[in-house]
Amino acid sequence: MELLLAPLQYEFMVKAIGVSALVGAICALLSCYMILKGWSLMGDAVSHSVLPGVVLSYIFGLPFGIGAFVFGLFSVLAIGYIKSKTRIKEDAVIGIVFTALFALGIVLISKTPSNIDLTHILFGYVLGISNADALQTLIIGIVTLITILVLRKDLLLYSFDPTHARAIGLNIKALHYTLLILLALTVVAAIQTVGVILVIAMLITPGSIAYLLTDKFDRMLVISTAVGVTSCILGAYFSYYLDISTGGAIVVLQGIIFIFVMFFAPKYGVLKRKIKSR
Amino acid sequence: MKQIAIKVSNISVSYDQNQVLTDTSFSLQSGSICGLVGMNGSGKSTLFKVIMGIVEPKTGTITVNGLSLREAQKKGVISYVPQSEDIDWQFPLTVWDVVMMGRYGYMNVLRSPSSTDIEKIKESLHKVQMYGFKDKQIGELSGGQRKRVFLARTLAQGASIMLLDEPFSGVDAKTEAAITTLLLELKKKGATILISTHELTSLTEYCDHVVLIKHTVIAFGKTDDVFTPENVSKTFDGMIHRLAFGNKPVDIHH
Repeated sequence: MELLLAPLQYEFMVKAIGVSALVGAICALLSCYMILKGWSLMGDAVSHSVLPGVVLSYIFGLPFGIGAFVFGLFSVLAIGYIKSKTRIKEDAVIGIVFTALFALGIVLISKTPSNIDLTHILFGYVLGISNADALQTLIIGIVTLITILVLRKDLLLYSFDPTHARAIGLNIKALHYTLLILLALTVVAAIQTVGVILVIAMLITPGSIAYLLTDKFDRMLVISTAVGVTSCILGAYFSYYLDISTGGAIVVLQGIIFIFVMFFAPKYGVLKRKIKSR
Repeated sequence: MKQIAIKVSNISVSYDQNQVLTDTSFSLQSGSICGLVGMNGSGKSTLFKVIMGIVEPKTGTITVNGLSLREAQKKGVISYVPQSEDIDWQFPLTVWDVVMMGRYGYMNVLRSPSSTDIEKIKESLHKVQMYGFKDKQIGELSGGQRKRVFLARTLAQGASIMLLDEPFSGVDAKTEAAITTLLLELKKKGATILISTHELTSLTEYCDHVVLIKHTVIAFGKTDDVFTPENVSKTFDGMIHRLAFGNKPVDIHH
């Protein structure tokens, strides 16, 4: 027990675990919408595209979140614009836009004479998060959390049947952009914890796990959040004891949970389906 | 005197260089069932999307009960039953959840149902004989049951104007009869119902009006006056559906 509580004596560990848990929760909530709406690739695009924004923020001495947010949204708008103006299909457009922006970020870093550590942006560095960054994450996290919880039913209806949503007077364009902004904000909040590369896992895996376990959306949100928060807290712990990457530990944990659920889920598990089909 | 429920005026829509709809106009009175008939690709579903406000027309307007479309939608007077192909049946939603969505317009920001909402949902589910399935995930239902769930959502919404997109495709005869009876009942109470369909066989049994569409209105009016072999032939590029006119003498040159 003492050994288990030992990390909590250090302020940096408490901070890291708190921030990770919050990030785990918002990613998990949003992941339910991402997988139902088929936006996984969009999540991938936004998360990679924030890189130049982060670097530019450092160069101009702004909070990293501002640049990241701007570039995250820019990527989505660029994808929409290119798709509507050319004959290129959406998946190819997404691939072009986010790799180009990501590459721009790499180029900017290589030309910036500063102490930006590329690996910290790419893979997160929550154990060394500064107070200012933790506060930034906290504010973004709470805003995102409240927005999702308040709008959860409207966002679900918009994802399921936008025509009906429109028919009963909801503003579906506003809901569309709200979901995109939430995605960009969540990615920004998650950069410190898991980094821009692995955040996509947190935006897909918890929701997918929950989707295999339930037919009720509210339950899906609860299960997904539980998976997200648990894996983030345990991931932070393990990374302290084993001296491994925190983001890596979190995502590996989620991957293990997914494999387990994929086979053993009571209704949609591979084994159950095999038994049924006999 | 009957009120004009939907007025479609001079609607034109084009995608890229394709002119899908040109100068399309017609109007529906309350207390009527109108069939929207046309081939696949005739602009029929585009017209539906325009009336639902999903597609912006290049020119023209839609008025509903004398209001602009947006105002009417905010009042919840239009409801919609989607085509089965437009729905992801694997969504983690139960029958109850879907019918509940018909009531969102009446609820607060958090969409928490009042006792009236619950009552309406129960009543609507009983009406389409789906109450016993209320806790089923929607993907576990048969084609006919799926249609009935969305019909219940429309009933729960209580809209006076209903748009149904291919309500009889993939539906068994029993459900088709049940849906038809329900629609006729709603019409008697003053509802305006627009049904998009390409099945012409039983159309005359429940539609009092017909709009024939081929990128514009070929003909519009009372079913008896307009649903002639000649007009249908024009709408379907000369292919007359024998079944539709099985009981009538087919004579184009009268």
